[in-house]
Amino acid sequence: MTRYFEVIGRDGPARRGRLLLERTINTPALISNDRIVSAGSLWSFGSVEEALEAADGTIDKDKLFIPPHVSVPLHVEPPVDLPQIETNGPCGLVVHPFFLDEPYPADVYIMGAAGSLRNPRELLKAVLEVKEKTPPDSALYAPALATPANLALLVYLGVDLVDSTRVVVDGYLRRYHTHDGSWNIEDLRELPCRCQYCRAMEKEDRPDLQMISDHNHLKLEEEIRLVREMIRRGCLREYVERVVRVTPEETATLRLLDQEGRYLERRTPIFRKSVMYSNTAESLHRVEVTRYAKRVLDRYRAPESEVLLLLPCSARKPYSKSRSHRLFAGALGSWRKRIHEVILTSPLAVVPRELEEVYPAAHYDVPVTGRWDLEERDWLLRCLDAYLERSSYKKIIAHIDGELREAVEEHGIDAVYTGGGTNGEALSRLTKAVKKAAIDASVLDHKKLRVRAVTDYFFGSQSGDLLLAGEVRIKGREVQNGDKKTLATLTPNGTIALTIEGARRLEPMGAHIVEIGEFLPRGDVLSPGVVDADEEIRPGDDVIVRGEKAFGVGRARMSGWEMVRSTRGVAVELRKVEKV
Amino acid sequence: MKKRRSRLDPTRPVAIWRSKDLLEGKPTDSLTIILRTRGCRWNRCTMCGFAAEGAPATAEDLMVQFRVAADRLSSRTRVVKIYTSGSFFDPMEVPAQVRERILDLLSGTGVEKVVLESRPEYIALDVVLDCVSRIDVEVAIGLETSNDLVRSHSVRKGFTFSDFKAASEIVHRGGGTVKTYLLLKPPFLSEGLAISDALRSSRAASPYTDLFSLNLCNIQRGTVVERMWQQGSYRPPWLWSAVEVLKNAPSVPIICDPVAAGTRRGPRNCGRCDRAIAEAIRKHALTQDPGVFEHLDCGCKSAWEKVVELEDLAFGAPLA
Repeated sequence: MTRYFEVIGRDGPARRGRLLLERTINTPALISNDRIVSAGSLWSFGSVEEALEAADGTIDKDKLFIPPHVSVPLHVEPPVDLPQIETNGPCGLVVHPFFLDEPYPADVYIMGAAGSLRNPRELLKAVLEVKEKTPPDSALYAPALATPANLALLVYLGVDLVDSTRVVVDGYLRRYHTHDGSWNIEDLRELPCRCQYCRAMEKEDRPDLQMISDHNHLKLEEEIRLVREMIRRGCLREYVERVVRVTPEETATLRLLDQEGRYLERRTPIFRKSVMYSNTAESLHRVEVTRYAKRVLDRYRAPESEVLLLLPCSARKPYSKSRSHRLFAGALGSWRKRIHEVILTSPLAVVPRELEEVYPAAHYDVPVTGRWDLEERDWLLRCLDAYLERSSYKKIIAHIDGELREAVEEHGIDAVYTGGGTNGEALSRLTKAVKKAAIDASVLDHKKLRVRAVTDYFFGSQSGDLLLAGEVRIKGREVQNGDKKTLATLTPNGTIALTIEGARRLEPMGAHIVEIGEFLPRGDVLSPGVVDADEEIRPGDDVIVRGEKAFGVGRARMSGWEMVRSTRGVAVELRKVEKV
Repeated sequence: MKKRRSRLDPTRPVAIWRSKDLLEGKPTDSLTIILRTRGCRWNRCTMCGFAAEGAPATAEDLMVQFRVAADRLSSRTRVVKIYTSGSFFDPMEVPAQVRERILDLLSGTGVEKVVLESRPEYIALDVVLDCVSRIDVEVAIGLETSNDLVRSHSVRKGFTFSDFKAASEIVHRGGGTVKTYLLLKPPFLSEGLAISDALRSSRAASPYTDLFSLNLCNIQRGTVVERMWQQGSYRPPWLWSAVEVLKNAPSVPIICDPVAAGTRRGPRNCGRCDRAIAEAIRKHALTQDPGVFEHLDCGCKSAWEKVVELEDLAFGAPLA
């Protein structure tokens, strides 16, 4: 049970939290040695008994207390087991990432010998092991590891606390750190920083070890501030994709993390307000991208439409608001009712028109050059193949041009290629092709299809049909039942927010249900009140809160598995609750 | 392993060299002989790679080895050190009659003192008495540290501080003297803890020994420590740490031979000052004058100080 650490915000594995020492530390943070009181390594005592006795005398409730610990290198199994030490204050437990069973409860877990983690696979394995075996509402401290260049990556991996030990010692070894890497100070013709220490050294024309060290410390402080801000803004991932370029090892770590998949998926929110930049090769493998593509294939059901129109994406999002898509709509006129539109784009691949507002379809930005590299092309075509295999269109019109058309056409997709474009001639070709193809096609209820698609996307396939069963009407962004009672609202964020009535309809699905204890919550549902929760719930998901005394709807602040394993923090922000 | 063993000739000693050693406080000519025996029976210590030098030498082989070595005795040699990379008193390594013959042969030269090494379990009163009756004997025991936890889990030495005390009493009762080896920086210990461990050990063991020899841990082939070093998880001690221990040890004489100093596998500082400091350490061994350390300084000393200050809070990772 953690009592002195609380997670207050999440962006993937990165969190913002509070460590409640005498003065609160807002994490992620650098922790300085004067906030720590360590009973010492076992090797400084003559016996285990002596160590335990000494520990009693060192407990300090205002600081992070570190009980006696078995200091060993990364790949050495600790030869001694120490018993748990009871403290009433904040406790930091040293754990050995590669030899970890169920550790005793603690507020902070300190990754033993983390400073030796240099190889990307080992770093990743160590962090994932500790995160897997420790409660989600505890903090992870990686000592003697952080540099300005790797800090963002460490936090993105899930590290909450770091220190300046490594850069301070490096300073005394003449190693000069910036967030763009580190160098031996003698190898620099000019110092790329204008902090007071660098100015002083330049004036003296001579490096000073203490000053290099102070400069390094300052750079690390600057970086942690920036990282915290990036988490608040929901764009740490974009930042990390940028900064890992500093070394191949860091880039490799990010790629390996993406390959691991599950760790990130379980922690990645269902939507963000920030713009998702897709600037790098790694962007293609982001959870947001793979999750979207997977849900389009697994959960989404294409309408029983005879005609499919493939369109290119637009810079402005959602696509419908863009000039090009308004021109396409104009060209389609009333024929639009008889066809289904799918947008082809990188990195999301296949975006059905109904899901164009769903994160990140309306929230991404990508450098547009008209070039499709091999990896993008391969990803697009694999998704398109899988999509077409699941649907039953009779005719396809492809209003696309350039390398996108080349890719699709060369791949052998049997379609009418109108050549794409938005000038008058191009639009007439589009109109002509659609008219010809859709002449016998039946009319589709696009409003209902959109609700069905969005509901399926978030709650699982078939849930849209449940919500829309019987007499319903779509009014603006609202879904109403026969009595004009609202069942759900399509939010501007691209999600769907249920009302109590809507939740009643979806409840039999069993998806997104948070079971709470015997109480009527007001405001937020805190994680100690959660008895069970759907494993699939992700931060930002709409959830159904159900207990013996209450039934309600709200938005998840943490993942379902995290609600179950946590003893602190807000699990669900309630929107509406009723007494049962 | 087999191939290698066939190259190890059981009739040749591992090494023989001449140097200077303290005898009654004065630098004296000495000869060191490393006999090739079947090797240490314990053979589990994490930093020791001597087992690789062993070969199944018979009693006759050992006498051949000794005669080869004895050729290097000079008329000025007063101290002879006979090491086996194991225990001279282990009869499996050195049969009793070989031990007796060697000591008798040496007593017939100008040699005044013989230094032998043994683990405590082979140190018995009758053996010590027998040796001392032939020539003055100093028995060197590898205590490494007075801390039983460190000795058993980090060094994996397999005996306790009380075993050492008992063995030392036997040597003294038998009329011999005791030399105690201390290991600077056993694995798992931070730089700072290594210093305090060595100092604490020297205080704890000083009543039981006539001389300390501080061994600066180096990376020997095929050892547990070598594997840790290769993984970036172990750094040999800084030479500054050795100086710190030698300066602050109790009044019992303490000597140190900084083997491999300044090399990748050895104790070292920054590379610029290693030679001068190793030289001072060797000088100190012969003079016991802490003044030899006074003028030493280098830019890397402040880095070492930071490492000593901060490495405990790295929880197992070396900082530099």
